[in-house]
Amino acid sequence: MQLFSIGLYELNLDGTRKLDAQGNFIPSYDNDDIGELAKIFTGFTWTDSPSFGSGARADTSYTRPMKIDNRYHEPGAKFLLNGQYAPNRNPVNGAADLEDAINNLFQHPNVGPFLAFRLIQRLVKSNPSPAYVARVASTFNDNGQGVRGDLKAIVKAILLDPEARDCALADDVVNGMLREPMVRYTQLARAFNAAADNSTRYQNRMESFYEKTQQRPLASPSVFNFFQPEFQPIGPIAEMDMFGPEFQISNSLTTIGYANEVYDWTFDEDLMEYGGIYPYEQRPAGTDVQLDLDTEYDLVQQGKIEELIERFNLILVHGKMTERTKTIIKDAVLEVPSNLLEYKMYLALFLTMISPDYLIMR
Amino acid sequence: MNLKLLNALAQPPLTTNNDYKALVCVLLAGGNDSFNLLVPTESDEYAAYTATRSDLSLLEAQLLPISPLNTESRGFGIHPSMAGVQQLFSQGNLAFLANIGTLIEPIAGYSEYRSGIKKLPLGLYSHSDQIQHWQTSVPQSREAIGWGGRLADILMSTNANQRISMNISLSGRNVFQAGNMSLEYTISNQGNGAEGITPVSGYGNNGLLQRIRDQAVNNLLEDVYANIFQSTISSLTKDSIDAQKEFADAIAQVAPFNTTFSEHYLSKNMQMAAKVIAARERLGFSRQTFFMTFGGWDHHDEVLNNQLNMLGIVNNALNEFYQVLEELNVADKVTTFTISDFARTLTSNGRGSDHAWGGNQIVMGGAVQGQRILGQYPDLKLDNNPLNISGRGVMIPTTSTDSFFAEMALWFGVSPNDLVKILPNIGNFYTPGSATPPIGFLDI
Repeated sequence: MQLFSIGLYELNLDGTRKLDAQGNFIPSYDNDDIGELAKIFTGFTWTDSPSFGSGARADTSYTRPMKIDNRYHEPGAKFLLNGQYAPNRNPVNGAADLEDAINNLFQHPNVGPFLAFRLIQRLVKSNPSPAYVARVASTFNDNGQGVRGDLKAIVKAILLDPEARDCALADDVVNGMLREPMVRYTQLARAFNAAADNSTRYQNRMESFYEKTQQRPLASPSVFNFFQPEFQPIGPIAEMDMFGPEFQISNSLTTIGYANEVYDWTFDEDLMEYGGIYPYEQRPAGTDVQLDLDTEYDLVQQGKIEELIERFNLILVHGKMTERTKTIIKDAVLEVPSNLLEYKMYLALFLTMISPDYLIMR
Repeated sequence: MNLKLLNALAQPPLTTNNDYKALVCVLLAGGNDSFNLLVPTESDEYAAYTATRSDLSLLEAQLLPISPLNTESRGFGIHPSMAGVQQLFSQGNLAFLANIGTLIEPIAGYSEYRSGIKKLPLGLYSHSDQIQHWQTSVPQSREAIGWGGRLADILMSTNANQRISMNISLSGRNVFQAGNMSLEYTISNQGNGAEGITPVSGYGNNGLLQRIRDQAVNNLLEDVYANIFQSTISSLTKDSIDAQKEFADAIAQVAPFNTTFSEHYLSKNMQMAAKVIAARERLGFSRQTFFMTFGGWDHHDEVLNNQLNMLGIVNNALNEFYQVLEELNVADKVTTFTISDFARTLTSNGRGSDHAWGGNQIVMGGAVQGQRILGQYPDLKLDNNPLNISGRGVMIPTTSTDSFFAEMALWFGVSPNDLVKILPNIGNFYTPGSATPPIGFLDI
């Protein structure tokens, strides 16, 4: 409830917190509610459990829906939120109780603004206006055809909103968001069609990426993910009472660590950390992952450095690279001895990937 | 800021060897079941312990006996995996804080708890809230600024070095060290702690190429950005690059230790903290805090086996750290303490224990008046126990985090007048400037 559906406080449609008569925030639930809702989850076990209370049989058990054992489900009625309840079912029916609880949460008026704010933060900007949140939350509440919770419609509403599309807004000093390290990595890989000749049976271990950026998919340090929606880094963001969630994993170690990861991906042409599926597996031939930079190399060969930088600007920076940044990159590339064509290309790519113009998506 | 920097540069570094103090905060994230860390052994109390804890009870014969100087007839034992801690306790270099937890104001017992008159910490039993409150000591709200950060806001000017933060983290960003003006400096336990930008290699002309690249990086980061996100990421990266060289150079000059450290990252973190302490004069630090997290204590099941392993890791790390501090002749200048979200329910859920409130913590250092159990260790019976607020065995804390932290802040050099700036609720537990200390385990 805290993290994935309604949050800690009652919200207005625009994501701001409701206030009681004394001007205080209104908690969405209390410890008694937690106790009641905990009863709903009693009696569930792994779908492949031989007996109730035995552990997971395999890692894959985590990927399959749990099953209910009604003998271990708390009997009786359970209070849900907003005055609703799961009835006293006889016989006991944990699956039906769970359905009631999920519906109860799904219908909670907080879900729309709660999800809208978080999804906008992931997809567009760290500090959406209340009006933007309200428009997206309204789409959650009703997709226009009387359907609540149509995720496709919500994503469309987020991306097609004037606040996401208006180019004039991009230059607003409080506009934008820090791209998270994992997104930077996948963006580079996808932008230049990273591929290996032999792509059968291996995994990208990413130990170095994880260590240097403090981010690895499906391995956040706690249920609160890598960063929280209302994190405020010291400096102008906090001074203006704005949020910058992704800065929570940006520190003296990870900022340099990220630059060194980019060094590996570019100059060292080392985009992936090979890992076999089974212990002691020999690395098969042809599993080196390469970026396809043929077009870019041709530009360097033809001495078209400005075009090269424009191409990185277009593909990686969405055309938001400033003239100043372009000049810094160009001057550096031109200073490199003319025979080092590949180095020139990688230098332009490296500098683009660590430039504030790229790191902040606007 | 600039003025401060100029002042700092104008003054020669303090002779930090004579005036150095460090606080080391070890966060046991997830909620350590600390009523198995410190266990009463006097027969009636041990009987209450086993009656309440049932299958989570430790056998009396397994417990490591200790002889506290201040508990009169009450006997205690500590967890069997903590022989080093037992020894540090017996040598007077370690004490326990009993039944300590987050409080806004004192709560005498169950009736006051239920009365609605007393303010309660937000989000009791919630990991995110309690772990935050332990680091802010302001449990009436969800504050982003920690008491170590507030400490640095006030005291950072006393360090000759204004380029690197007073607050050093081995676990990244954290609430404890987040200040209004001061940001933690995050290091790793590898190499010299701070990694520089990879030098250029493999293309020939390495010197030239590196100069070109570093100049371009510098130009990008030193540029003025109007956008608040761009200016934040560029200055953070620039400051990190500038600090790294100075920091890593100083750590590289630290002579190898005789003390050996275990392989676990908590021990390696302690080893790196010790290196930073050893480099304090070269770096120009007279005050520092360190922060490190050891997570995975949310033992809703398998609590006994997990604790045996994990408390053993804590035991080794504390023991090794104390040993190296003695080797560096600074054991009395460094005070190390544990914090954790909460203790766990006294009763078993059949496999482990669940989220509770007041619990027990460790404080270690040459300056600590050790071999004591500070605060009041509670009666562990469930019934007719005014401190117990749940059928599961949840203790209202009898000592506040404020009192604990105030004692260390005063020792660290915060003036009694400034105490309330660091610990806003302290007035509810202690009168700053009074003749007696908040708890009484450090010379202040």
